[in-house]
Amino acid sequence: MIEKSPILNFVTHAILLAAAFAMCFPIYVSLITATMPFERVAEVPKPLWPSDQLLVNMAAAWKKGAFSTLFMNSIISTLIITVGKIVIAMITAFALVYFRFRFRALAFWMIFITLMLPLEVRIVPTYEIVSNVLLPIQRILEWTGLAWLIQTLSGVRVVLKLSLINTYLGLTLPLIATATGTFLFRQFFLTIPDELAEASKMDGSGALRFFWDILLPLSRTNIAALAVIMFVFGWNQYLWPLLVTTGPEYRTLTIGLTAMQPGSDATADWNVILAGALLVMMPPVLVVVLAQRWFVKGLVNTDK
Amino acid sequence: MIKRVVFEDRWLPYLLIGPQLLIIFLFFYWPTGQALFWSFTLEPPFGGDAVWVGLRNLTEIVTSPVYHIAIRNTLIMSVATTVISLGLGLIFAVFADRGLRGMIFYKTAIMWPYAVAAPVAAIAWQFIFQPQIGIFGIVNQWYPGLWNPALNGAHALTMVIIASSWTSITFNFVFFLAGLQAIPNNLVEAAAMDGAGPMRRFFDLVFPLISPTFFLLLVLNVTTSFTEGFGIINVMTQGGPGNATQTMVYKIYQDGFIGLDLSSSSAQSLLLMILIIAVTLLQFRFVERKVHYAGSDKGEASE
Amino acid sequence: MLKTAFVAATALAALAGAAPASAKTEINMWFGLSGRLQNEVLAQCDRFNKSQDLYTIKCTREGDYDEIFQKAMAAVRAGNQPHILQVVDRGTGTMMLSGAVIPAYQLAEEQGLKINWDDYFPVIGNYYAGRDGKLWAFPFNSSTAMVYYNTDALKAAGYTTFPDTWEGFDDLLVALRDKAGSSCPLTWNIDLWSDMEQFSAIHNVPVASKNNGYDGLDAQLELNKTIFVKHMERQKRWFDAGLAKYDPNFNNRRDMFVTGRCAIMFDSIAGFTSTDELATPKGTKWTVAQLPHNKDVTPINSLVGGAALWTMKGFSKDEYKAVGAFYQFIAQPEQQKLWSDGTGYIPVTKSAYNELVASGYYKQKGKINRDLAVQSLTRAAPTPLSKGVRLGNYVEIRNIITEELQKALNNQVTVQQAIDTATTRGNQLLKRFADTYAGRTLP
Repeated sequence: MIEKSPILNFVTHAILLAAAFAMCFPIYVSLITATMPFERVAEVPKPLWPSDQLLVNMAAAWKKGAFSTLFMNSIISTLIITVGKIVIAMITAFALVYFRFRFRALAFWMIFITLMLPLEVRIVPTYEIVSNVLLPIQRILEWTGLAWLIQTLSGVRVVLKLSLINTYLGLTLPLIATATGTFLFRQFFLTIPDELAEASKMDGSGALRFFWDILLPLSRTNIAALAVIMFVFGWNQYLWPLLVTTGPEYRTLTIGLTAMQPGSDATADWNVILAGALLVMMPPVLVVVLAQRWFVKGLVNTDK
Repeated sequence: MIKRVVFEDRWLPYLLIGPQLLIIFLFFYWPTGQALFWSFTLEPPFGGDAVWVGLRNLTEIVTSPVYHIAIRNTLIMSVATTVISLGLGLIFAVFADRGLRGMIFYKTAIMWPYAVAAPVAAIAWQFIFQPQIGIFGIVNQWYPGLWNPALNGAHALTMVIIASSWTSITFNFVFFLAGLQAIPNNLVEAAAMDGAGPMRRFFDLVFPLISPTFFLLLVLNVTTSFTEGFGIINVMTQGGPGNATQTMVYKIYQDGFIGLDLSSSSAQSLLLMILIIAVTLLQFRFVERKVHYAGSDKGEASE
Repeated sequence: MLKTAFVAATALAALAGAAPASAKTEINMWFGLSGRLQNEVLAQCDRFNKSQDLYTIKCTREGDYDEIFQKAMAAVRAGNQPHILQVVDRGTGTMMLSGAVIPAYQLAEEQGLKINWDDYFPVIGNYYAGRDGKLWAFPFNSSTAMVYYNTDALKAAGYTTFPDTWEGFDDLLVALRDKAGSSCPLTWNIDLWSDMEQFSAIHNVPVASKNNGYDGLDAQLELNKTIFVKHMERQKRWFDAGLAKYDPNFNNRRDMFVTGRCAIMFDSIAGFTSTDELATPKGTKWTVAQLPHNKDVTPINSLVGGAALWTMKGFSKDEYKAVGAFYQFIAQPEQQKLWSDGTGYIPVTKSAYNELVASGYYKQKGKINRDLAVQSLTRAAPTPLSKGVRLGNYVEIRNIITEELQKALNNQVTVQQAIDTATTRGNQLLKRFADTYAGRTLP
């Protein structure tokens, strides 16, 4: 901090308090129901003060939603997605910023365009490829006539099939590509002074050494930021896990939570459902709180 | 955009981008290609013989008055949510970056709502905006009929804009904060010693330094404002009342996912992609030129 | 020709596909019900598994009605479909044309199932039947639309019974406001299931030509020429007079009703148990009535809503035997009674209903008047116009009508203009659907 101005400090606190309130209040009013006994669920107007049934409702939600297995699945798949996204984003951006190669701009745009069509609108064909990731090869063999050739020559019909339905890979792999992350690291790497790469080259250490020794430590805050965003992204995935898993073995928490919500024909025990929502939110909230440690000024420049 | 200092290696860059390209080829381009092919056919939901219809799907959609409303709403929502969430995200981050006591509390308070799954957030907004039993009901007790998103299109659009801005503020906050914290303190201190006040410092020094982040977030916000947000619309308004919150992407979702009209939905996806690509190209062409990428030249200038 | 195949598979994929070796034939069912209803489905599957030792059924919830349909579309294309799929009423036409299902009657013939088709209530059976009256799917969860009303509020308004006619309903709303001092006589939404489909069936008027689409894919909407227009104009009058409070969110409407703040709401009979659970702690006294009808009209049956079980193609003879056994099991009166009691849906067979009546079930506390739903469905033999509505792109068409009517509520257009526009737009979608299945006909 540069100067100590009481007025500015006051303004800072006021604005941040207002921000904290604006961000938290909507969640607060919806989660207050999680502390209510069932009799008070449909109360109008909505209560603004908590009651005392939070733990009871949480226990009920845990049992009702069979959260134990779901929790493990969510944690495993979210960790794969988060780590996978960060690794893929960093190495891609590194290649895009620090190397001159053919089709560099094309590759960037190819990745970027994936932002432009959400999964929900191409879900049926995406499912098809996940239920057989070798489909493109199969099609190419068929179109080029190679499949026919092999069959005529050897009498063996070529059927390539590799299904990722009901696997952790199927849950995570289609979500691991990240235009956002790639773009983030591209922007960040572009701000890193050229002298660092120059010095590295003069030392005679290679590109990977530079990446590992210089870029990675410099990127810590950005990695933390991306990790927060991507952990939440992975954790809150709903439609894709629902489609690509069948039965309870590979189901994730968000699906369990939604299954507790009533359709049009049933009672909403919203107190239990929202207590469940609180449970579901805990791991990502924990990640946010832990990531705070990395959001500290001074990591980039040690000379302060 | 590339560094002036680059590494020489024949195969390494391809190895580095290979995994991502393979994944997007399999799980994005292959299925998207198939979906776009449907734009020119009438595809039955369960597969089977599709009828080739050429440009019929596209002409039907671009001549539909509802689609024109959807385009208008999309543009309004896109501009409004981008300005609100980018602006507030930046303001919150700038103040949070001042490093006063209690910052951990504020940062956590602003960030954790991002962890809330969309269904819960949607419930929250219903409680708040519902004109009879929600918080906004108080407004209606003072002035009956002042707030009625269920039937007033402008109110409904405002409500959806507020809710979707809210959901993306944290995203911007987090990345702005990361960008701000990467700025070396000594630069700012030096400027302060030269007598530059906080406002001057922000506009002359800090903002140019985070302009790469700003550009990143601008492009991402604009893009996602086009492609996302149908979850919120689906829960809050279903595109109503009377199409007042119908957007291009919600219509794609509604027609394809609920209405099972895969072909019309694909044709609309095609149009939406063309529009976003055009908007993105414009941003790269006109905005990125003003972005200040600190390379060696920045180092010289600041010394 | 040699039919050997190279199958490349990783350990992961193999693991996922490996089922435990067992002598029992295992089948899968995907359903879309959630919350407490999910547990009722699972309990029913469990009862089947315990009732015999030849077959095992694995029932899993795979999302809501829309999600499960989307998933089924994707799964069928990739060959991963389940044996049994629960499909919501509006998907009936699409399922019939899908080419991916085995019709119920055909399965029954092939497996020699002992199913008494006449035992299904005609209006329920017809909803899922072809033109020849043969069932394509097994009726599962079924309901119909009702009026829910606050009995204390009605008493305060000077009523002892609920009015039979919409004209009487008009007067009731006014009395609720003026005599009972209610600030919200009706909590209400444009709900085409009851406003259009149920209303048209009860009054024996068409929604679309070709007997509501049953007789051909070239059907056209006719709702802008029927008394449906008058009915919506009536509802707009309630709204304009402040008698009906518009709220598109169902949970909010029910909250307003169970807390006694609004005197009347419309809902499916399946909401009976839930309303009871919510209203009882708040001391709100209420019951249900059949939907009113216009005066000078003899009302006929209302329409069924809900979902049915469809049998998917692509399995072995043994597996279909298991599927048949399951259908036969859940059609038993004993199972129907347990299902209806647990869920609040109506029993779909006459024998189960008669047994419930005979045992005094509908006289028990908390069940009184639940049988009015069955009476509403069976008020007359279904006519060609009261069997159901079988239109393509129907979900979108309903959305369009709702959209346009919202514009009328907002006074941007008149009700007639709104329904005219909706008809034109809807007919374009019907044409798209017919062209998608060019050369095909509905069974």
